[in-house]
Amino acid sequence: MSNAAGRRRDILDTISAAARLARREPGDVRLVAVTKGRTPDEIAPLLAAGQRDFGENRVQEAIAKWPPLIARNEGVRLHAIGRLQSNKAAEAIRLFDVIHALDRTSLLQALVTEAEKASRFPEVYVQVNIGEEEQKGGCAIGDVGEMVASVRASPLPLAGLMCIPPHELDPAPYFALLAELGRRHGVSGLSMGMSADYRTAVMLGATAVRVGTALFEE
Amino acid sequence: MTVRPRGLIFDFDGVLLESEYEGNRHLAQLLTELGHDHSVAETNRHYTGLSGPDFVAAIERRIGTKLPFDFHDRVRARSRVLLRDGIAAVAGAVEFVRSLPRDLPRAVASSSSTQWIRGHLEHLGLAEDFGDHLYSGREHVDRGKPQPDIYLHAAKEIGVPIADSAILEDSVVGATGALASGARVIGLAAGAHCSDGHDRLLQDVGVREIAYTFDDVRRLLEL
Repeated sequence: MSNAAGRRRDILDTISAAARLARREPGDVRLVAVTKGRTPDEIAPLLAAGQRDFGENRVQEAIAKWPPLIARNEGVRLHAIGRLQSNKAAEAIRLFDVIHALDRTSLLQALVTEAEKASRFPEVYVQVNIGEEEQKGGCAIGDVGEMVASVRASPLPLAGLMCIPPHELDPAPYFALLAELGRRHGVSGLSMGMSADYRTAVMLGATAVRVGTALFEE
Repeated sequence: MTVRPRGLIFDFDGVLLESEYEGNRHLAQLLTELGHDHSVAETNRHYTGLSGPDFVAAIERRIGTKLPFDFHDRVRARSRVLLRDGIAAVAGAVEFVRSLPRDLPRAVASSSSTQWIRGHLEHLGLAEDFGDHLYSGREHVDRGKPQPDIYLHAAKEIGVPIADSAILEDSVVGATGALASGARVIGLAAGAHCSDGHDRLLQDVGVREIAYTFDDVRRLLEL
């Protein structure tokens, strides 16, 4: 077993243990392997180990890297996890199965237009600016209801809410707040938690965790 | 962090009461009687924090066979005996609670029932120290630990903003919820169930302040 495959096994075990402690079903949590900056050779052992959900930050990098890997591996689901510009909507719609960073109605409109042209309808997460940070993407907490309603009224399936807590602060209160927003708006999918904090995120309700560093580095 | 908290919230089992250790000791004895030798440390390591079907499934996975149909009844019967006879306090807990300033609001926020909490506080002679501020994750809120609801509820009831409160927790599940509430969290590794590495488990979920004794708690909180 390659190191990345071994680390994936450990991460899945940690996810299962955290879910059980929180009285959740381990199968309700999806591990998204973040492969930004990783080569196809680095990704291959994860595919061989059965990993099927992968996250990329940049559309151009994903276009250059993933089509051959998708052609050779059945069932791959590609997640766009970085901030998305409206002028990349057409490419994003054609390549990605899940989009995690929908944060404005103009982007939703661009995605819907391209989805209808391509007859391809990826799931979308509404990204929430959970720490109310100026430099960070995501819609304001007060706008979550409106964004969720807009997605529900669109042909794109709503996957849930997504957040990236403020750097260097304890993430747990922010995960709990996203979970609370999910309950308030009747949304069960929560994309939250990365390499350093995915265990806490799972205990607080994450249904998708986005892990890169912990998969690829010792 | 050196600011003295305006309110103090205690987890119960494993923080004030040695029930985590006592529960593990009884479970080890019960499993050993059934022919599956277990030490107290093993039950602590493999089954702590689990309940209901997850608890049974974890044991059955480890012993490789089904548990007898009356297993749960036997565990519950033992709980009733313990509630009648009492369990020891965690070392230093009783003295710590009694030494708190009278005007410092405090509460218990536990996953156990209020009947269990009240009964054991009476055994420990601490019932009056907490008054009616006994809150149960299964009685007072919809979602128990690791969700933060029970701590938020307790802080509201004692009239202290959660950000000005400190929570004493010994378990990974409880500490996760305590951190999620936004309170200051002291990870307490004073109970007999806290073997080597317990502090690390708490630190792994984000607890920054660890107390190994109630004297450490007093020092950290400037009480």
